[in-house]
Amino acid sequence: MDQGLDREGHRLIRRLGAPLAGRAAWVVAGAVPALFLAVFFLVPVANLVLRGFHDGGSWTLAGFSEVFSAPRTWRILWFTLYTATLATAACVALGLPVAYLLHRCRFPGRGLLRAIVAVPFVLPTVVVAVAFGSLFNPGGLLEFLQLKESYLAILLALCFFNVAVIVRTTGSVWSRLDPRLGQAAQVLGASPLRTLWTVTLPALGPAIAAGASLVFLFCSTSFGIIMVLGGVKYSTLETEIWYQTTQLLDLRAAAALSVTQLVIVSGSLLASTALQRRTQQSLRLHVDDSAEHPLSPARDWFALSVTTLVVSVLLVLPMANLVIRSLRRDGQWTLQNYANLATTGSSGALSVPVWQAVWNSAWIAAVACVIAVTMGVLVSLVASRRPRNRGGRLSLTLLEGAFLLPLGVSAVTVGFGYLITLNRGPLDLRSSLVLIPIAQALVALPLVVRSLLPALRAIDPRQLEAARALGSSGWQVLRRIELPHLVRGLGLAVGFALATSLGEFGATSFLSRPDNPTLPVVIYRLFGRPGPDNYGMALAASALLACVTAIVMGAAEQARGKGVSTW
Amino acid sequence: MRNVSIHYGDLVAVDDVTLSVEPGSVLALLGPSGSGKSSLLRALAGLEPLAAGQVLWDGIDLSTTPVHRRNFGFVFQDAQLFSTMDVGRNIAYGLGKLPRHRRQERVREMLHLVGLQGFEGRKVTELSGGQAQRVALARSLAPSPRALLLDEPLSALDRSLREHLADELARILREVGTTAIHVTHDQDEASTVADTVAVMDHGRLLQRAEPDVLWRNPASRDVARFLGFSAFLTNDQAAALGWVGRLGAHEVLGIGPRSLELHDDGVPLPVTSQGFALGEVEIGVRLPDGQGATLTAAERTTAPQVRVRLVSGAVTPA
Repeated sequence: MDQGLDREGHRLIRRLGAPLAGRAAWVVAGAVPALFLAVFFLVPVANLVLRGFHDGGSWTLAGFSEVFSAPRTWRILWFTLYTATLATAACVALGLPVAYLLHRCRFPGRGLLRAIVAVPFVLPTVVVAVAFGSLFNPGGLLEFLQLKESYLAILLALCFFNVAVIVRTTGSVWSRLDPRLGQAAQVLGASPLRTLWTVTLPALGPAIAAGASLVFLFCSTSFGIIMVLGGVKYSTLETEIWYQTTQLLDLRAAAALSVTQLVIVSGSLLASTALQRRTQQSLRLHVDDSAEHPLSPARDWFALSVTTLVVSVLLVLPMANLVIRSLRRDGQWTLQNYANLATTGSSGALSVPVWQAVWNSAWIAAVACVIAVTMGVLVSLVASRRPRNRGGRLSLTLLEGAFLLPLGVSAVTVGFGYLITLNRGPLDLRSSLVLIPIAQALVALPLVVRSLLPALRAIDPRQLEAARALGSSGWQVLRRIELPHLVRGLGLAVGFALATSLGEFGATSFLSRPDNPTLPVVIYRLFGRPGPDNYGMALAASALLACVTAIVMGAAEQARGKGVSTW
Repeated sequence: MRNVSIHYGDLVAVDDVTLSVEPGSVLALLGPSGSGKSSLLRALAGLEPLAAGQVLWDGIDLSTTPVHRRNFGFVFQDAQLFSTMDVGRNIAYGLGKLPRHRRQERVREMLHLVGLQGFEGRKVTELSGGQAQRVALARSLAPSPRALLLDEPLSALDRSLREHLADELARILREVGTTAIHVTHDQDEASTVADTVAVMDHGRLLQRAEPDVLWRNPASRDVARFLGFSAFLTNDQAAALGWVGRLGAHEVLGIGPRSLELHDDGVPLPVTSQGFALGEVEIGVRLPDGQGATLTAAERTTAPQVRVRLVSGAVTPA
């Protein structure tokens, strides 16, 4: 009798206690990254935003009216939106044919071509800016075009980065779009062009729009490109925030501008997420490869020529030019520029030799990667739960959205927020180097989550139910089915985290000190200084950083499992 | 269609098939899945490249004509309606440059034909599977194609709907008087819809005949087996079971589900299994030579044996 009761009691505990313990563990797993996000992102950014509405004594909108009564602000705002729109349109126009060729056609060398198109997205902005700068500068391959400090150079550099975004977001949908939809149109008498225009592109519409709003987001917040290529002639909201803060020390104006940027950027981020969801819902997508067909030059000549142009002129040429010029000095082939990396440059350009910055970049990237991936794994695991009740689902949606926010807030705003927030009490970390990897981890976190979460979401819920029905406990299901899936996305996540951190310039330019710079900061400083030594060192350091990033990302792509792709 | 072959890499999907359709008639391509019947149909429409052979229409070679100029109608297994357009615009898609009122008139006409009057403004996502397939049919018929190609248009639907729509489809095809090729793996559907049935397996054409001829005289045991004749008896074995017909020297009799009947004076056979199908009892019996066969009865039997008489069968080459 006693024993029976005991057993009954145990059973009860097991029935009620296990889910409770499980739920508690999930809450803790969600709370850790949430706390991290709150302390190192939400509070600093909120603090900055509130400062825009406060003049020290009372709440006011004076900062805004001041900023927005200046014609300079409107000019900058207009320039930012105009440039981002133009670059986005160009990326869509160039990216769609490339997406078609790389995701709908089968031909030898496609894997290599996909990698070449994918890598630019993660290259450091400073490096790309230097590459395009050196392409049009005196001595560059395209010097004759007279494009130094020109608008076109900025546009090209923005496209260089973002064509990959369009290719990947639309390509992954296009490759799974049922080919019979287009065939249905053709059988009804529609020419290939009409089929594309009336059936295929409308079906891809949400995916294109989602990709385009991401591109718009990246273009309107681009910092490094404008800083290096814009000179004094061109500035965007992002560079203006930097200018107001560090050069004019006008925090109120900077805060007002940051809020403005936050509004623009959250708008496009919301649009992107909503549209992406619509893509997943509205299209009945294929899973197999039957949508692919062998490349036929007669039919695919247009996509083939656009892709050739994009890859050779837009993507390969600037990087090839960068590497070649880093190896030349006064018309001679030489390694002098690389040897000079052991120095501090001419006329005191730097306080430490470049190798010191390389070392800084390396350990900072390692720390940032550990932080970002740890947080990313926790967030993805929690966000991929499938709670039955409405409240649970809502809170998970909010959690996921919150961790995509850093994508929508400029890195400059984050860096600036740290400066004015983490300066007192237990968190006086301003002088601490640890702020840099934390800031970089935050910037990388959205990409990490977006690489891990789809891998978990791709698990058919019926598989988990089957495992449960076969007698596995919740933890066993997690360990034996979900974690292996997670690992498939892990390579890509680590790659994104390392690459983002290695190239991060916006927040780092606020937080790094002259005696402890990272590689992008050093490149920016060298590129802006006069003297062939400094210029050559900037090229050599850029080529070095580009190679390291490309290798990291290439390895990550190799480790990537099939079906883990979206951002 | 003359000497058509289709390859997927090393796989031969269709192997040297020659087939013709009379204008205004309906041909069913019947075969198990993977038999190459869909590939053949897609090749007709120009959706699969031919490895060898020709597609001829009125003696004109269409093999090099691009898909959109062939003027065939094609109905896919899963409708493939354009979700970015409403029902009306889907149907009007193939109509080209007609004046607006002519286009609307044609759409109305087509919707009336398939029994979906007033559906012009509906979203295609709001249609049921059967309605979507009707709209797909209307869309293919709207431009008055020279022939209609139907690729298992009913196989994604549930059974009762499928049977109902097969009748509907037969009616519509007769009404329009169009030439049609209907691909299916369902024997009943093939004989409901088509004037002639062509049986395919492993990429080859096995037999082509009118439905009743096909069922009475399959061209080979393979065809007979696919039509549901599971056991084969010699003349003497058949006569022993009460069959009154006579077989030639090189013929056997295929035994299908309708071949055997319960009869009080019949031959007793042991019952091996019982099951239900469409509300009737299916009784499995063992024939004297050990082969299995089934017959249908109104009620379950409790006896270990039933008395059976052989009333019909498919005369098949041995």
